Amino acid sequence: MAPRCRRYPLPLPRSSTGSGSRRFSFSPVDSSSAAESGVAGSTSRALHSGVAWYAGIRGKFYEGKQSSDFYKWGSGLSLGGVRHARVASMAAVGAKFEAKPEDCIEVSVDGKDVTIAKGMTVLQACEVAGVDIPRFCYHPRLSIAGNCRMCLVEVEKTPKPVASCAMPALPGMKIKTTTPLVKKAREGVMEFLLINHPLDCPICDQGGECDLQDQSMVYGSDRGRFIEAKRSVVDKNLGPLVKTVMTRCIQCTRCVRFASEIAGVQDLGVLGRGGAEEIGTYVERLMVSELSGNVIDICPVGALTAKPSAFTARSWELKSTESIDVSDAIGANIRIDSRGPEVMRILPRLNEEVNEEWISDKARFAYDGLKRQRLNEPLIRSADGQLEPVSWARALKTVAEAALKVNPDQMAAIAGKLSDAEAMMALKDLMNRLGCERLWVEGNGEDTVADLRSNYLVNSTIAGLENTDACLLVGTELRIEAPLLNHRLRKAVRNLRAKVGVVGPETELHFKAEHLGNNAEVLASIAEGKHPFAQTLSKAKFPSIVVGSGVLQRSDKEAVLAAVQTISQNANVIRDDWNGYNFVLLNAAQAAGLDLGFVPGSRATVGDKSSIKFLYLLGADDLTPEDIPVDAFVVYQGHHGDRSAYRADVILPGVAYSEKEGTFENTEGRTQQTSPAVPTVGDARDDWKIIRALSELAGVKLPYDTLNGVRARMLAVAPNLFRVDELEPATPLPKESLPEVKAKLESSPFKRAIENFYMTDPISRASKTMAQSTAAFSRS
Amino acid sequence: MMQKAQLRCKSRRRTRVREVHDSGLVLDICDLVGQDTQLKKVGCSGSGAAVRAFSAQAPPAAPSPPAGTPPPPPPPPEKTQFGGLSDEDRIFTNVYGQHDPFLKGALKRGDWYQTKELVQKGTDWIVNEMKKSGLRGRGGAGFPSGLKWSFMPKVSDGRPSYLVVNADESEPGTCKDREIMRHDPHKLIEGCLIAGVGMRARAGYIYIRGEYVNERRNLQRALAEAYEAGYLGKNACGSGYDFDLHIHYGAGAYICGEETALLESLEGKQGKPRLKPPFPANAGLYGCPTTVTNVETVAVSPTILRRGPEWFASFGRKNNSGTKLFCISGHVNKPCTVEEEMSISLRELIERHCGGVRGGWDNLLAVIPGGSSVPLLPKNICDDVIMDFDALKAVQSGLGTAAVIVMDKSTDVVDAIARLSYFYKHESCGQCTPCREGSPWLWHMMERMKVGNAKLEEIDKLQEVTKQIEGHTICALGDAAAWPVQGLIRHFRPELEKRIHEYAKREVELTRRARISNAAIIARRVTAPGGMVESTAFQLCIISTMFAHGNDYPWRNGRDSTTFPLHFQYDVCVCRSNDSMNRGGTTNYALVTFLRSWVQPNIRDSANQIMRTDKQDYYGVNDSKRFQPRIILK
Repeated sequence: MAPRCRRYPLPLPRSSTGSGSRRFSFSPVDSSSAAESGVAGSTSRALHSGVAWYAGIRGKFYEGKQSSDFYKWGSGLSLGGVRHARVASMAAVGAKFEAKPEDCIEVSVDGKDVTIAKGMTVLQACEVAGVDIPRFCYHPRLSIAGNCRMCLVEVEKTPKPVASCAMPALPGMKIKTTTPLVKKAREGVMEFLLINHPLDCPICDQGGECDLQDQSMVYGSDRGRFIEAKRSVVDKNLGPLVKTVMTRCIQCTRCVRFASEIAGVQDLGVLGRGGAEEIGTYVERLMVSELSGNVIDICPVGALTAKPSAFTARSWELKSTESIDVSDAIGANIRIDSRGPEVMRILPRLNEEVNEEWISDKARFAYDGLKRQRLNEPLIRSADGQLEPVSWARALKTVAEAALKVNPDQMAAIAGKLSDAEAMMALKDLMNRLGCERLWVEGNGEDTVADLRSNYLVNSTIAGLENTDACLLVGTELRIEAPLLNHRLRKAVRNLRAKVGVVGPETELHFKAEHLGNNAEVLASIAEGKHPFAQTLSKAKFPSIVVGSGVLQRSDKEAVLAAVQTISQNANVIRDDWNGYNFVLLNAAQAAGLDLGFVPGSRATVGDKSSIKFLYLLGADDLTPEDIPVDAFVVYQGHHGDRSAYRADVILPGVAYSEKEGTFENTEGRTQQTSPAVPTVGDARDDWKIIRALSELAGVKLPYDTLNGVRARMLAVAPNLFRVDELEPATPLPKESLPEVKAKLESSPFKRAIENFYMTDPISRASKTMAQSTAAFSRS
Repeated sequence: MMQKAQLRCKSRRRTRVREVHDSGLVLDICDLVGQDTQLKKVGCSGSGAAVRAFSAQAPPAAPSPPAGTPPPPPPPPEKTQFGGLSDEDRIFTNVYGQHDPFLKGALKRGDWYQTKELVQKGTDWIVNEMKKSGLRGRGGAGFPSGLKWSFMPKVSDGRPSYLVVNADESEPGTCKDREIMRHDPHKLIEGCLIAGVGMRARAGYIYIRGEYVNERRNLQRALAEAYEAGYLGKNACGSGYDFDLHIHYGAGAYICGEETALLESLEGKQGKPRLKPPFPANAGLYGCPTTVTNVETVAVSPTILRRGPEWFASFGRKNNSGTKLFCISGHVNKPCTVEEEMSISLRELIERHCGGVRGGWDNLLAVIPGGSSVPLLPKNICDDVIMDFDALKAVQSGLGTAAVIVMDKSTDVVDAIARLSYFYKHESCGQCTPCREGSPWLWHMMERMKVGNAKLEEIDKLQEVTKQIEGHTICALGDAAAWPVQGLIRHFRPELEKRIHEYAKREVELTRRARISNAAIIARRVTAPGGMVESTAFQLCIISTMFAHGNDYPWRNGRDSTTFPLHFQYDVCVCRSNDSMNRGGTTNYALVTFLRSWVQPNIRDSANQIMRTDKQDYYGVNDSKRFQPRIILK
């Protein structure tokens, strides 16, 4: 595992000789990422021209294309436990980027010669040399503003100190970062930043992890010379998630740039000028974005902090645990900060392949749901219909007896959307041993795509979608279903001017997309090549199709998928070097469940009421009590008293993702693991252990007693689930092997797969913050 | 308007305007250079009876040599006397608007004459001639124009090149470009074509200040005329070169006169300067190669090409050549905008063209020689300084836009600079930290300096703050905010110190009076029935928390919120001071004065020492002394 970052790194110029990882190093161009993306190498070169510079810096006329290249050099690394944007950018220090020697130049930083790639800035050169440059406005994922002036360095033969974040490094440049001139300049800037910054660090939530605080330890004075009245700024209302204390703002404009460049909303901006300059919303409205919480992380001061966790903890009290988000199928890497038994906040972790350094608001803020509606002891429905607490032994015995009474054909098990692979493995083994083959994993609609792995994965990979130059969205509201995947597509639109066509419900995607229609006829006409977008796809170098899970809810899903297959064939979407066929799953458990042999299940499947007499729900809550046969014996194993728990005959309390070590596979087929951050609640037990115990009572003892035992079993069933943090691409089958489809397309419109982004699973449904967000941001 | 201008001219006793020759459309200006040296002499003398002949009004009968012939040889290089530009050497012959500003008049003045040939000589020729002329940008920075034009790409990479003319003349004191635009707009428009060719630009934009309503009307009309006459647009002047010119109105922000902020504004965004590099010649307007030049620079270029670079280079000192429009304002008898030779002495400029300083040269206090952003010069420097880039730089100022602001001895020089600080605080775009935070701070301090409400060491603080701004910002507005204050401190520090002393004295007096009533109350209280001590019988007094509560400056807002906790049980009076009390330096002074006059007349006089607590205090060097008793009375 990559080394954890120091929690509060002070950007002191270091005299140590840099460790090996800090060196710039060459590696062959044909790295896996370059090979997968196919275009990574070619797009990242144009940086030397003035146009590129202009674009890289201002992100304006030739916007995007180079602005992403700007930090591409730093990509391809994985670093654990990164909380801060600044820290994240420091990660570029250890980055191994691919570069040919002729694309490299030599500069000297504090007398030490370093080789860097052409097009790097002075600041990046310093990072390669292992010299930290203090910065507030610079962020490697945003366009360069160069306005904080904290990163001033001295360059030989330049009369004035230069802003290193914006100055291109030129061959032979002699950069000095430790001279009195530099120190004085930075001290001056620091004093200016502090004169109007309130001295409320003791009550500021950023305290302890504040860039300004850290830097002021190095460049600040112990007392102020400013005896005038300080400026105060009216706070802005950004909704229930982001708290603003605008008086603390240092106008670095990171949030403004994040909003316009990453989130794609133009709601934030700079108002006023001079000393009266403010960050705000132009008109009084909220910043509506599924990624809005990330402005909290990129804010270098305490101007934007998390509203739900305001005044609840100081950063140094928290224990950090690296984990994986389960609120959607992207599997964003997160850090769970806890204090004692309580999750205090969730922050993103850097993973360039998955979430970069962003997470969705649901991933970040739904954690308060972990504290509500929890099932903490086994319950059995008594004769009077009330659930009463019982011992584990009795609960398990009751279940075992009920199961053994039922004919295996009348049994079924459904794995819920938050289930880990271990629990699903155990459940599958248990049910199979009991003779039951009806195993479903919650998703939208039924079957059909489950047989072929390449049919249910994002084959282009999440990061690879950035390289597409034409994309057809079918029946998906990508922004709602997978905000981070939507962001990747947005990057493709911005950087490569990718053309995006949408067949499906009309949704604001926050980038330029052509809505082709919301009916299957459009799809048919594209498949037949009549629609102009068919040309667009065919002409594209890296065409892609993104199919949403909502498609599976349709009765003509086979026909829709067949049409998509035809389009895919016509446009050569799947070829040896590029597979642009993407199916976006909605739930964290889905990919692993499908790999393990569960099939997508839904209300429709269970609709056959008469047939089910024993139903085992592993945290499956998409069913309503009416869907379940009246005489069925229902076991609910899960962590939240959500919908299905009300129907359960026996409730077995399991643990939430924050409390267990579980394996999840994301929608691109990447296996990742959660780690327990907080202890389990009450008498709850790890899910796989419950099933293992149950198996013993049911007389079909499962052959594993440890977590590793379960994983060894997983290795036999789905080997990819054993290879953590690795992406297992699916091999597309030859076109000829696709089954003939006779079904006809229907004219009904595509429906939304998710009605409310903020409430999709038991945890987010129990979250007060998510309820507030629903009220504030609801699209209706 | 015209009448007024003429009146002004007459009253300047300079010119008897000749009749305009209607037939004199085609005049060879080159020919005029050598003729009639007598007129030059007259022009130089500056006497009241001088007759000024505008070059365009010379007799049309003068024989015209073929176009493009080299001009007469340049004057001897060892020139030591500058100034007294003769009328025929003036480029802007309608600066006062006596003549028709539009096409008809412009043609009479020689504009658009053989422009076709100039254009057809091509880019390289134009750039070379400009380089030879030694013209330096007239917008303030003084960058060699020919060199700047040559930075434009020789071969296009597919992007068009643009010429942008900076007509956002907002520098306080500057009023030269407006005279060109309202009285000689064709000079500018013709210049745009020439400069456009020089830069391989097919389109030009004139960004004109929003407040210049009449100027842009005239310019717009002149532009329409030029299009009408075929001078612009497709096949401009019949030269085969296509050139379009557009006029864009600004909205009144000073910062939009900064070239990259101007480009931002022109693109429809907030006028905030861009980072450089990339420089506009590489990626400017809409990301395309662009050169931004000042109106005057562009407007002089056709005349330079017609009369030859050697002619232009013959004026002024080496590297500072040419003629220049000077705008003299302030305390002179007749403020004016006048075209003069570069390197003219400041005194001659003022006395020859402006009727001298109000109340005579000896009444001069200071001059800001190049627009509000350059440091001022006190009289002793003004006595012999000459007006060009290098000479003014040598005296730590600058030529800037050559907007000379004259201040006589009636001026409150601190107030004047404070007003400039207010201007820069108001016009700071707020993008980068030093300027956004520093310029309001400067203004606040200047406001206090104005009345002397400061400590002596704050002058150094002020200087340091200007140094913290200067050179650390994205654009030059930070420097512009810093320089006037630096100039003030450099040359008028005694004035600042004097005000601080006076203010302290005044405050002491006020404080003393305020305390009398307070003390009376205390006295009454302690002498009330049951009181232990007579008010006159001070035995021991500890004043430890005197100013610890509430208002640090009780007298400032007239609200005396502090209590006066005198304790009369002791024999020693101790005054403790902490940082907040010490502010302004007057507190202790006031206290001591009070004690001396009302408590114990033989108090040790350490007031001045305390008031002058050295600036070490700020840096913590003297920290150990900070919380120790300052005055011990026996």
